[in-house]
Amino acid sequence: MMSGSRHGHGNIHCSSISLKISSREFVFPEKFNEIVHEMVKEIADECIRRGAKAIGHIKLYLKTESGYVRADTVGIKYGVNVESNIKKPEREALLMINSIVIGLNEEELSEVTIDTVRKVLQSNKFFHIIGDGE
Amino acid sequence: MKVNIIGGFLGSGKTSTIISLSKKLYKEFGKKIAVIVNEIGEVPVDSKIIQEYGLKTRELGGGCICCELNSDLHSVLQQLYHLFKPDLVFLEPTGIALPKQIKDAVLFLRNKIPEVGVGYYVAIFDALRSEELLQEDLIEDLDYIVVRQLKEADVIAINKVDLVDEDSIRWCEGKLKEINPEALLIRLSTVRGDGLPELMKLISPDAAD
Repeated sequence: MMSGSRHGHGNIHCSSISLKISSREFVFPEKFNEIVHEMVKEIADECIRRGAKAIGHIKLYLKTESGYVRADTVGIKYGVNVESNIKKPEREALLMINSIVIGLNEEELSEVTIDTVRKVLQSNKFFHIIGDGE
Repeated sequence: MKVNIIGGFLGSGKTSTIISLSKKLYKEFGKKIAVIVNEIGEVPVDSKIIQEYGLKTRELGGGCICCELNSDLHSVLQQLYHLFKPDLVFLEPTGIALPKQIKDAVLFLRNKIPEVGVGYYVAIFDALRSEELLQEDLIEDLDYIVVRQLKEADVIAINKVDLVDEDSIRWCEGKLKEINPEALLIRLSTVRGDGLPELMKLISPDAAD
């Protein structure tokens, strides 16, 4: 259900995912911001917990019918930037994430990215994955 | 059609800089802009964000133009020239790309299309992360990439200056001058707009008049 890919360059690796998510109830723009913030932060945290030497860049793009949210971090201590222009409550979204991390192997990075997305979606239980993204 | 490379390390603010420059150059000076984005991953996050601002982008995904996608870059630039004829092209390489190879690839295209001009290689540097990236014992792989990106730059734009104090900026400028004494240093904040007029003047001198 989730399309993902992995790439590397020396000790720097990237994991990408793209998927469509849906909710039974309408989700307010502020809630989208909270969810993407949590996803990016949790991916960065988990990578470091598993021994990554540094976060390269974790970036997320979420698109709904009325707007988008972008979120990114270059490391836990630098915080997560979130920028959004979603205008109204929405039920469906396209979610894309590129996690670029130093010193964590590709398999593990891919596992962290996918598992974290699933975990955050489940903890905000109104979301479920309905298919691959673009 | 002048190709400017807006490079720099991961998360330095390349995409935001391109958006800010393109918006100003188009809205205030009517410049026709095209953006080529090369991302490490196969999911085009940067490209999608740039498109949200109404800009035309072409993606080069799944590899790095400095080592794997050189021929793809040639065909994209050729297509852009023939179909769209932009005044300016912003090329955003991956955050781990080495500038010389990219500049060489663009220069090579001049043999085929003399109208293609090579502009500046601008390295965007994250002031917020300067201590981490300029430390003596930086992780081996990163040290090589970060230093090469800075050493080979025509211009180093110290970004996010709105988030650090004056002492940190001065320290950062000193370190960058040691690495590349020839490069022009510009203080940049895409949030406040600092440095954008200087960058515009370099990239498109007629637009800044």
